[in-house]
Amino acid sequence: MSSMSQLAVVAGAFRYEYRMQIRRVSVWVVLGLLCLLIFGIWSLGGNAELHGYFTSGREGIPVHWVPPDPRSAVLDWVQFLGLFVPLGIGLVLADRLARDKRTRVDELLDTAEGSPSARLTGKFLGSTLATLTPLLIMYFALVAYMVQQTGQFTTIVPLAVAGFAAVLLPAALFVAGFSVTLPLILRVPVYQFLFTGYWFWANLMSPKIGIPSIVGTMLNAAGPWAQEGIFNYNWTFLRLNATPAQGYLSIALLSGLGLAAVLGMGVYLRWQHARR
Amino acid sequence: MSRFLRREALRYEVRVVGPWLFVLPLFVAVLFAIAAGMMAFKQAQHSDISNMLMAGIEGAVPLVVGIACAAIASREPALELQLALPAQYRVTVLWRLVLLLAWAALIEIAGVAVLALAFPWALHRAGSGYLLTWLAPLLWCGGIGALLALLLRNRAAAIALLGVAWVFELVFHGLMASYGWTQALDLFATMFSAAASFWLANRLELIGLGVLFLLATWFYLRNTEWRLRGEDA
Amino acid sequence: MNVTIENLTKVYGGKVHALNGVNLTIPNGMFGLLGPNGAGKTTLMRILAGILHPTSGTVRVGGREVKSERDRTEVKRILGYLPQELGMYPDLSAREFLDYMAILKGLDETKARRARVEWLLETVALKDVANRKLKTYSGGMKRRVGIAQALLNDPKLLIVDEPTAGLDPEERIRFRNLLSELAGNRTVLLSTHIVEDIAQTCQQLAAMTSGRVVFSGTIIELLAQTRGHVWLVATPGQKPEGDFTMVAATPLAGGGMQYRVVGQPAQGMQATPAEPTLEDGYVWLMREHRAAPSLAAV
Ligand SMILES: Nc1ncnc2c1ncn2[C@@H]1O[C@H](COP(=O)(O)OP(=O)(O)OP(=O)(O)O)[C@@H](O)[C@H]1O
Ligand SMILES: [Mg+2]
Repeated sequence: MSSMSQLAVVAGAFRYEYRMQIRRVSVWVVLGLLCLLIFGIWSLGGNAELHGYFTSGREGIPVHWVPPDPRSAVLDWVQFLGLFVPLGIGLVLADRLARDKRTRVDELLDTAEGSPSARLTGKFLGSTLATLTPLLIMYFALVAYMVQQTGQFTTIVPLAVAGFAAVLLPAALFVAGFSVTLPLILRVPVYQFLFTGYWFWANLMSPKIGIPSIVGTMLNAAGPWAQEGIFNYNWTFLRLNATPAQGYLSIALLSGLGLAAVLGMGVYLRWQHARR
Repeated sequence: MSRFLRREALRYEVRVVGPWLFVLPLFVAVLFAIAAGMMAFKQAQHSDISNMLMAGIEGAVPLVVGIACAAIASREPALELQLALPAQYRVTVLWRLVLLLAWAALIEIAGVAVLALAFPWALHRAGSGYLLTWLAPLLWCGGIGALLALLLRNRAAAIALLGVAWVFELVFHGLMASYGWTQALDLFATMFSAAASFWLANRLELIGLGVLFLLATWFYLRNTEWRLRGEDA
Repeated sequence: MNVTIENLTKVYGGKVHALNGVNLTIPNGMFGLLGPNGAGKTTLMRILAGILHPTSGTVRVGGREVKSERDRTEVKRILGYLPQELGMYPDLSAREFLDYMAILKGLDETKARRARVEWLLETVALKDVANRKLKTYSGGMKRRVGIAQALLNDPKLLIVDEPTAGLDPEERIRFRNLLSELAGNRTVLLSTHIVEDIAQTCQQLAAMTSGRVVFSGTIIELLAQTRGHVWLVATPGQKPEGDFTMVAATPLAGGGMQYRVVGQPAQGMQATPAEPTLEDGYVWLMREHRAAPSLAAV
């Protein structure tokens, strides 16, 4: 089949999946509550950073004024979202293809043209971007608030866009790649349990706990490499001494792995189909 | 009520819900037991081993039970048939939830027994109520999983909220312990704040909330019109 | 077991008026319910089965008004229900599924229950495959399990929602014969889109459209209403003109076409009156009540 029509298949599956996913009230509810939770955490420090604040002056250290730092306020927002939003997105997306299987939409689609990989890719991109839509809205709502409070449009908005693209988007693609495909071989609740455990173990477990983990590796999907390497931001519990190149590499790696999971599942499905 | 206690009825309920949902908490518990065993074999510190066991008892098993409860409350292939039966469907669902919770409780009791025998000190900090410490997160997770799955008419979304809340509390356990109103919601008070003054209050509050969620689930199951609309998808 | 329905309305979510003042009396025997998609048949049946609560109006079953949850439970004890979308537990076998349903229907005595299940498996001709999991069943086999399930408690009131949809012709005939046999000593309410099923089995029927009952009576009464509105029109080939709904077009042996229409062909067409069938009667009703776009468009 020509690459042009493969692209049409991807686009068709994308449109269908995007529309299906964006209509679901529960997606909006989950992302809304998630952003609210993260906003709560951010507001504990971020608002002070935005406006500047006096230190508490404990133990003989004189009280002093910390000037406003909108840059940090934005990157804090990105960091906290990066810690939890991919988890939420991965869990919400876990039933997408499994549901198709249950409702037999897949049989309908199986007879349609196009390779399984092309269709899977379209579905993956469509459902992921649809799930990111409510996030984008709420993300930029807070960014707009920060601009309104400080008036520093040129500092805040380009940084916010870059932060979204460098941290949240690759993380979402990474988790979505696995969440869309693995439930085809695992039961959805089992996958969701394993994924929740994995997310904590691989991204959030401080090395201080002493359990071996991959938090310090490039597979950390919560964004420390991009945050440190590209934005020169001190991430919460890790010091990686990342270079900008490593930052970009982590973006490519995470997005690539997500896509690879999808394509790999496409190959597997075709093999399985051929065996039938 | 008597129909529920017959052995064949019990067997059918388990098969209808899916036996794998019952295997899951056992599997998770065994996994943590093996991890703790390996740590013991490698002569890890006793506190680390007991923490690993407690992470299973207080963290992982309740989470997986919450996920299973969401599945039980929201999935029903034969919904219309069930609703047309003289046996009330919501009683059936409640019974399934009770079955799963009771089964999980057995697993938890076994876990606590192992912990209490191997490292008595690890639990004593929390007073004598420690033997029931698992009940609080278990009921809370189970109740909220079931309720959210019903309210959202979407199992995946309900589990997403539960999973995020669970990880959030695990990561920000210090924060959870430092405000009055978050203390009431701290799922992992035994792991991180066993000696704190709010421990007992926290356990009781979580148990109360869990029961409340289950009651709300019970009332909400009356809303058949909502259920008949199918999944939000 | 008479079922009487008065001024029944159902509004979904404050917006969708699925039933608008339904009045209907369903006597003993087979009773057919016809109507286009979205007419409200399933909604009506769900209310009768106690699954949904009406927004207003009354339902009487056997003379007793069904109002409280307890009344509904009482009705459910004598009810057999086969829903339109029949979901079942995929991992149970037919035998296990029926046994489970029987337990839920309160057949407590184990031996009697087993015997009942075996008898029903025999009745619906599934004995040979009764130990296979339901997920391996074909659509027709599932329907048969569905009807067996509905009969477990020997119901006085049997409600079946489009039971013959998706069945092959032989299976359909077997199925509706089974239903008419059952109707001997009970009330059977059958909804369908297949007019033929009703013609063959029901003396009484009702037609619904847009949440209203537009006809209720015997087949003979419906045919009498329709008589004089059904025509055969012969043309050299082109479609005839007039205000009617076409129900059939057959090429004539000597060239040209013969059209069967319900309504009024234009003056000057070569039209001869024809004896109405039940299908003509249905088309006539829907024309009169102008709510069957799928038919009006023909
Ligand atoms: N749960 C629901 N929520 C909202 N609207 C509903 C619901 N169920 C049915 N409806 C609407 O009520 C109307 C009647 O639906 P109903 O299913 O009773 O029709 P029907 O006669 O059974 O149609 P069909 O022949 O297609 O089965 C339709 O407009 C339908 O869209
Ligand atoms: Mg219907």
